[in-house]
Amino acid sequence: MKIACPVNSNDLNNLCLNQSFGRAPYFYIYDDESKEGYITKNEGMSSPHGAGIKAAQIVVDTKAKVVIAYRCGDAALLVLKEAGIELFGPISNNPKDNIIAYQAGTLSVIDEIHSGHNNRPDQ
Amino acid sequence: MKIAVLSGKGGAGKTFIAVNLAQISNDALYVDADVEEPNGYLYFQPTIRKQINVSISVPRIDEELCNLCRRCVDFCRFNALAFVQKKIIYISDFCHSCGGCRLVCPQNAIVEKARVIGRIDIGYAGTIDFISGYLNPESISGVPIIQKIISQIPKKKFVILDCAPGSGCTVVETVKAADYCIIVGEESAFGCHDFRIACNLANTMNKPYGAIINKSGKESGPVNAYCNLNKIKILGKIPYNYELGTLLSQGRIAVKEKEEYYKIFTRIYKQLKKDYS
Repeated sequence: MKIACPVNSNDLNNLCLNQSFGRAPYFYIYDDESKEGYITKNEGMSSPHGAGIKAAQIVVDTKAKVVIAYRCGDAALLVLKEAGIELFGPISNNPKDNIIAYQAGTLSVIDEIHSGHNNRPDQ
Repeated sequence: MKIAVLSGKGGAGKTFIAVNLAQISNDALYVDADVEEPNGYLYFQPTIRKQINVSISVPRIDEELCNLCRRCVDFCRFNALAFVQKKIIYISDFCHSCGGCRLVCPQNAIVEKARVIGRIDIGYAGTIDFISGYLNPESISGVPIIQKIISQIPKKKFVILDCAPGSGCTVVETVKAADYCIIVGEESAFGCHDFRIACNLANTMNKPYGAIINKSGKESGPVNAYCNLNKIKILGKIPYNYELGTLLSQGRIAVKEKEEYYKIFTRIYKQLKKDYS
C-alpha cells in the first residue's frame, strides 16, 4: 500500500512536510511493501484554479491509499474521499517519522477541514 | 453614453454617487452591477415589470457512453473534473462553463444542462429606468449576470453602471461595457490605496476616467494629492458630514432632499455631458 505526503523539495535525503496540500511543490510517495519511496511533482501547485483538485488527482493516480498532511481544502478532500483515500494529521514535519507513526496506528484522521483558499492567502 | 462607477474599496460611495447622478439626469438608466450585494433598490424602491433568470451551462456526463479516456479531465484548466474509482467526478464550484470538456469528448458522452445562478430585475422608479442583478448565494461568479444585464441595455441612453467593489472579474466585465469611468475615491489611506488600483484598471482597459472625491475634508488628502500628481480630472468633491450619512442610512436620495447636494451633482452631471457628448 502507498502513502503520500506533500513535501517542500525533491531531495529524498532531506524530506520535510509542506504546510499546504494543493500548493505543495512535490509529493513523497512511499510504498510499504517494497519499503521504497519516490518523489513526484505536484502540477497542481502552479494551477491558477482548483490546485487542490489537481493535487488530489495526482495522488489518486499514484494509487496511494493514505495521505498525511497538515491540512487539505474541501474540494481536494472530496476527490480523496471519492477515491477511498484516508487523510491523517502529522506528528512531526518529517514524512518518515509520520509513516512510522501511521504504521504504529498513532496518527489521527483529520475530520476538520478548511473551506479551501481558492488562491487566497491565509486569513 | 455608459458610465461605470467604481472605487476599489467597498464603502467608498459608489452607490451614493451612482444613485444621485442617475436621479439628477432625470431620464437615466440606473444599473446595479454589484450582483453579490445589490443595494441600489433601497434608494429607488423601483417597480419591477420583468424578471429574467440567468443560467449557465454545466456538463453532465453520461456514464453509459463514457469510455474513461479522461481527456475531459486533462483538458479542464479549471480542474473542475477529476477521475477516480473508474468514474468522472464534477466539482461545480470550479467550472467556468467553457464547454471545452464537451468538445474534447470523443464519445459525445458530455451534454450541457442549464443551471440557474441568479436573476435580473428590470423596472423603473418615476422617470428613472432601473436594472439590478442578483447572484444566488451558492453561486460563484457573477460575470454571466453582468453579461445578461449588458445585453438588456437599450442604445442611446444615459446609463449609470454601479459596479461591485474591488477590481475582480465582475468589475472588469462591467467596465468593458462602459464609455467612461467615474472612480470614487474615499479620502483616507485605505481609500487612496484602492483608488490607485481602480485607476490602474481603467488605464489597463484604456477607458477614459475622472475622479469624484468622497468624504472630503477641509484639508487636501491622499486621493486629492494622487489626482494632482497624475493629472486625473477631479469631477467633484463630496463633503464628509453627519447630515449626509443620516440621509443615506434612511435610504433617501440626497439630491432630492438638499439644495447643497443638488448643486454638487448638477455641476458633475453638466460637466460629464459637456465633456462626453
